[in-house]
Amino acid sequence: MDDILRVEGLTKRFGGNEVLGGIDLAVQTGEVVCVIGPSGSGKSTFLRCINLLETPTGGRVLFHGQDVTQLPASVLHAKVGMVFQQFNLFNNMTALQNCVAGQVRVLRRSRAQSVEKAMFYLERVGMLPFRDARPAQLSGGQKQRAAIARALCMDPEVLLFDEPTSALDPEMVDEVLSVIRTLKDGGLTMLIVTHEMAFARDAADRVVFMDAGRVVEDAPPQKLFTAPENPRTQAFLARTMRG
Amino acid sequence: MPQSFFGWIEFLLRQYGGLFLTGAATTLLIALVGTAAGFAIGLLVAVVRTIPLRKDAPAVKRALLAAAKGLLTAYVEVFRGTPMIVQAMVVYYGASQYLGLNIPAMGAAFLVVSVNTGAYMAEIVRGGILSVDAGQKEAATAVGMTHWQAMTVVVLPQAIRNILPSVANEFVVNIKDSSVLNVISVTEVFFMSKSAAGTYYRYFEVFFITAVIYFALTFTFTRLLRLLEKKLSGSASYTVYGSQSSHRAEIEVPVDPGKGGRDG
Amino acid sequence: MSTPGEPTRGCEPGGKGEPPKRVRGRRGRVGRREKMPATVTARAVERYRFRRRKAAGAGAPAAETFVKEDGNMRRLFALTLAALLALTALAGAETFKVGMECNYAPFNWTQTEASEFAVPIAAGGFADGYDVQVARKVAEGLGMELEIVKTEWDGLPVALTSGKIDAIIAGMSPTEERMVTIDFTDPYYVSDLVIVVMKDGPYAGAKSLADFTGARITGQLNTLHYDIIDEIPGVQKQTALESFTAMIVALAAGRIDGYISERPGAISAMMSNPEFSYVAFEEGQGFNSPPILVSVGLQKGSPLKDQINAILADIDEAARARMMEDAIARQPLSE
Repeated sequence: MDDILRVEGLTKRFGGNEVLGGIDLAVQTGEVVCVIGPSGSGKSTFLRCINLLETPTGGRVLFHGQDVTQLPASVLHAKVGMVFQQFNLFNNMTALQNCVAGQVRVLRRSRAQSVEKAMFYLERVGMLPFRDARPAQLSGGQKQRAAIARALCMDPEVLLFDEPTSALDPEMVDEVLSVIRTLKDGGLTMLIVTHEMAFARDAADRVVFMDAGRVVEDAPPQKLFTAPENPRTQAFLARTMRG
Repeated sequence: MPQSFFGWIEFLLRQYGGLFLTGAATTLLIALVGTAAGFAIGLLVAVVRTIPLRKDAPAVKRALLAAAKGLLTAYVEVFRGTPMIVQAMVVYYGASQYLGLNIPAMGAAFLVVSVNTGAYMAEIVRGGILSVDAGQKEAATAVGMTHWQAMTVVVLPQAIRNILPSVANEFVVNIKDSSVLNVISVTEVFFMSKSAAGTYYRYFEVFFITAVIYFALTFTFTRLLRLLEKKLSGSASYTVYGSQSSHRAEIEVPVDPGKGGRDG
Repeated sequence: MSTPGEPTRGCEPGGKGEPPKRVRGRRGRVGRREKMPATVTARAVERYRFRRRKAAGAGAPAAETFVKEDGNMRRLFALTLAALLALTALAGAETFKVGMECNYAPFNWTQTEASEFAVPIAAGGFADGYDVQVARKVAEGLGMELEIVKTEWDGLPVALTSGKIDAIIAGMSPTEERMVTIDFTDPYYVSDLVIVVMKDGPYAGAKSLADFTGARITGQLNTLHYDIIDEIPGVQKQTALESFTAMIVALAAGRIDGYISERPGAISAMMSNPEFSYVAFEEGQGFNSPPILVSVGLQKGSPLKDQINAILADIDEAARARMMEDAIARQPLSE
């Protein structure tokens, strides 16, 4: 399998502050990679550099071997979708319209086609009954599922998840995680920043531990969670997996 | 001669009624056109001023964008910082005296009020845009929309709903400020009232009528804008399709206007 | 943004530092009471001319000094001119645009009905009054069609200099500051100042300035009316008020004892407020300052000045008095 996504020497500075100090990562098609680490380790910034919501200061990101900065923005964003921690559904539209907007405007699909696709994905995430509701009328879990549907409607090859369940009440975390699991079963490549260790252990093909802007350890979950090599990984896991 | 306060009002309405109406129509027309055009100008200016300056874009493009933003900032500061009466005089008389351009009075009135309102609107819209959560623009970008698309499809509709009270305010201000246009021979309702007062030497009665006219104009249109605001907030209820027992069911859920949403 | 009715006075000609005087001066000959003999007028005009010559300075160009012309010669000149212009009038009249406010009866007002004296205003309504009749006579004399451009006071000078109007006939007085930017013709009216008081008040029977000692008197803002109050010995000068209607309200409410007005304005005020009366002064008992003159404002170096002067000279004292009487009789208030 080819590297669908490859990050080489990615650095990012904000003013005098170096947030990412050189990240190297390769993701295969169909892989699910979970990124874990303490807050402030640069996980979100890393994710946002991949789809150019932040501009890297150094290094490069390759999608199918092509530098992402050379790709047209609409192509990049359709192929590399993103799901946000705060959901960021378009508040002035219903769930259905949220899913349709990107298709019509960016991919230039016909409205009929877009609606059909939107209904399909909304059903897949279990949000079809609420297609006419506005975000203000939905619960957090419902909003996140709708956001996932919105990203899926663009037919992405890679989906980036920026702490998708961090803003949810505990009882809604599972409904979103189960949606993500079904996506994995469908063979979608995913890069997920998360604090849900149990989910990472079960669903990930690989887990990457980041700290202070660098990749500290990168291993399959069975290995990383049971026998971490790096002492910093050990310290982090000890803190978070208490109890 | 009438004796009582209301006797005078009735007398004045009979004598001057037609002229009061013409003046009121002029005031209303100027305020409507000025506010609407100013709103459009403000939207345009705000969208251009919020175009992000990418550090990796070609130098020519960046210089052009910076120049455009500088020009628009100058426009906003100058037209907010100078009195509208001076702007009116410059456009109507100054153009004629120094440029040989003869602009008709009403045309000058529309132009000045629109451009003046546009400067204030640019800042109001900018505030409205700032009040929209940054995540909305991010999500729009993440889906692949251009700056223009993100603004028109996602950000501005929300910003506009937020700023409608301020737009209504600007309309009310324009209704009253149109009175300074009497220096360029525009006969709006305040100038007409001064004529009525100066002809009949009655102050309270005439300006009572004027106050009622101003109130009627502003009240009507602020109510209309309130209606528009409600419309932009979405419908009064939404339908949930299918229940656990019957998948054909359609459940109408009323929206509680007090609460924002459910959770999270 | 300004509040309605409070225009910034940024455009008065020659206005640097001190706000220039907003002068309206009138004289009214009402009824048969020949209080002011013709000599006063002649004297007033003489004084005006003297001031003009003084202002021009020694060795001033001929245009600035007046030559006492023979009245007959002037009339002949006017007639020939009128005849010539009448011929051009037949060929197709040009418009003579006159700016005025049309909100101060009986000098210029706005009315809703047409009449043989009223002139239509483009924006709606009809203008009539003493100033309008003077404008009609001037336009007739020039062989042009009269158009009244209703404009607020502060906009009048700019309207003139920018060419939007050809003349200002709005009760404007020639002052040093104004003459820097505009030219003025000979006066077409001279003010006769009175003090408006309550009919049953303590000052109704006053005969001289001294009788007003201790009274609370005011006048219109930025005018010579307000300055002239200082001539009253021991007066309690109140804050100046913006308009005549504001002063009427203040007097009726008892906040002032009197205000300065021109006689026709006082008469009009009495018509709508029967509880008022006014005090006029005999020769020597009233104000000592030179009478306030009112002229037609023209663009600097306007070719119309001599023609208009000729036309105005043709309207003698008696004619002017009659015009004023008629205007007072015609004003909407006297219906």
